[in-house]
Amino acid sequence: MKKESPLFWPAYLKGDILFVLDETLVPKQLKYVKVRNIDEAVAVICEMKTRAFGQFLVVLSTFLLEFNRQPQLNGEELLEKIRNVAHALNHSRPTFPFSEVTSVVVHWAHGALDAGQDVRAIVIKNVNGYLQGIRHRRLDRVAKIAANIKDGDSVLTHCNVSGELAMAAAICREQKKDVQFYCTETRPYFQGAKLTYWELKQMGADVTLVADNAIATLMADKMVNKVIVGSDRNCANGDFANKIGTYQIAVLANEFKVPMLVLTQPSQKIKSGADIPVEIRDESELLQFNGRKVFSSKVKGLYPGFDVVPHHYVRKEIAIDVH
Amino acid sequence: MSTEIKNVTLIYGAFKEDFFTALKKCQVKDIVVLEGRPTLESSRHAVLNLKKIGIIPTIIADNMAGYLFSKGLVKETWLASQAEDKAGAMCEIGALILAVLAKNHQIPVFTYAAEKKRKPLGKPADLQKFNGQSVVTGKIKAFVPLIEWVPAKYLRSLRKNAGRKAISPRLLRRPNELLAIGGANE
Repeated sequence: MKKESPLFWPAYLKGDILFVLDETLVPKQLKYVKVRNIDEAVAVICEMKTRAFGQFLVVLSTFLLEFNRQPQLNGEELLEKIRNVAHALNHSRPTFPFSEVTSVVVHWAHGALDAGQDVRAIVIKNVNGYLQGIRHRRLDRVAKIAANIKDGDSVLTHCNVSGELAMAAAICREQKKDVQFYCTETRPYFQGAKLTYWELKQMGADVTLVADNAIATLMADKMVNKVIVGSDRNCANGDFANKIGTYQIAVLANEFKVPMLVLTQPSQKIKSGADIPVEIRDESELLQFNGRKVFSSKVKGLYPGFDVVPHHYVRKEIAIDVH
Repeated sequence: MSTEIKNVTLIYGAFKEDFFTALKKCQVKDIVVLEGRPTLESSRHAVLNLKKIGIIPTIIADNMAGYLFSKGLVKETWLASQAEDKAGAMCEIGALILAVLAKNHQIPVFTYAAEKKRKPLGKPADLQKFNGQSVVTGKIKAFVPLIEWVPAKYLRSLRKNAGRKAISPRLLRRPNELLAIGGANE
């Protein structure tokens, strides 16, 4: 693959500092925030400086970061450290299944200690191997996305899928497919306007920005023939959680017979969407923009961060290989 | 934070002032207002008029209505219509989303006259700013419809001539015709 979006792998560890792309500043700046410890890792997640795949990268890298910071800890102390780090990360944002990842790391450390092995060496080796594996699997999925986009397609997307759609668009371009993309603004953080529009443009795609409220007109007038969105959490029955706004896109796609394709990370940990806790974020994030009030009179605000979409709205899952 | 909201009336668009008088008479209290991108004009209009009748509304972004419907929190939806006939109503962009959601959840949708007409199309620059501040810089390609047609099958009641017939509804039912009227949109 010729090009890689900065959003595809938005964090890297160098010594005892984790550099995390501040996605709230893209595209104005490609600035990496320095994360030095677990508290700062939790902060970049909670403040949404990183999101989607970036969060998982931060979660896994934070274990390595804490290892690098404290080379003197013995096996038992490392296990305790890993448990504490896992606990803090698991409780940073409720909708995300961080525990599915952190529990694996705890399991590795526990196993190494029980077997009398070097906990530090085993965990570092496994985390790095895991990350490498994820990288290859995501690149495989990029190819799958491109294969699902046909010549002449007009694709609506929402929020941002961490570089994968943009890189698929680049493949489509190489394959001389004529493809049009529409991306929603994605209030209140504008990830669609700031990230998706920008990275699709960077890849040379034909992309048009629309307000979140323009999606019905796009579908009713057949201006799009496919919807592709990501997912933040997946259930055994195929239900999924994704950025707020995804549910209404799904309902409309069903109404106007536009097939909806979802990028998934298959998981059997939770049965259905009813079991997914939806994070309600602070109303100030909705009622202020860049520190300035949107309404001069007194109002209340409601900001659910995610929608849960029932599986029957999904035409096709483009899954990452988890085996 | 109003996470306990339930049984709300969802209102969308810039309604004539007497709509708010009617809300007061009907003792409607729990009202949710959508932002109404790109200008936010309709939500500001609603907030001011609701304040006059002593109601503090809950604001949601335009992509959050589905959440309320999926949780069973909406009891009725009102759309400001600029023009109506037996076939449907011309409303502010976003109205069709609410109408389809409402149909899907068996929630009634009503129309009431809009306070004023809207032009059919905005400019890409309208999406570059939010609340007067920059969201994205540089030239962008954007499609910015400001009104859309809501077919009668989604609406509970249509009152003939309730909205202002600012522009012929016949011409405005399809976005491609809007594009033809508004010209190129980049």
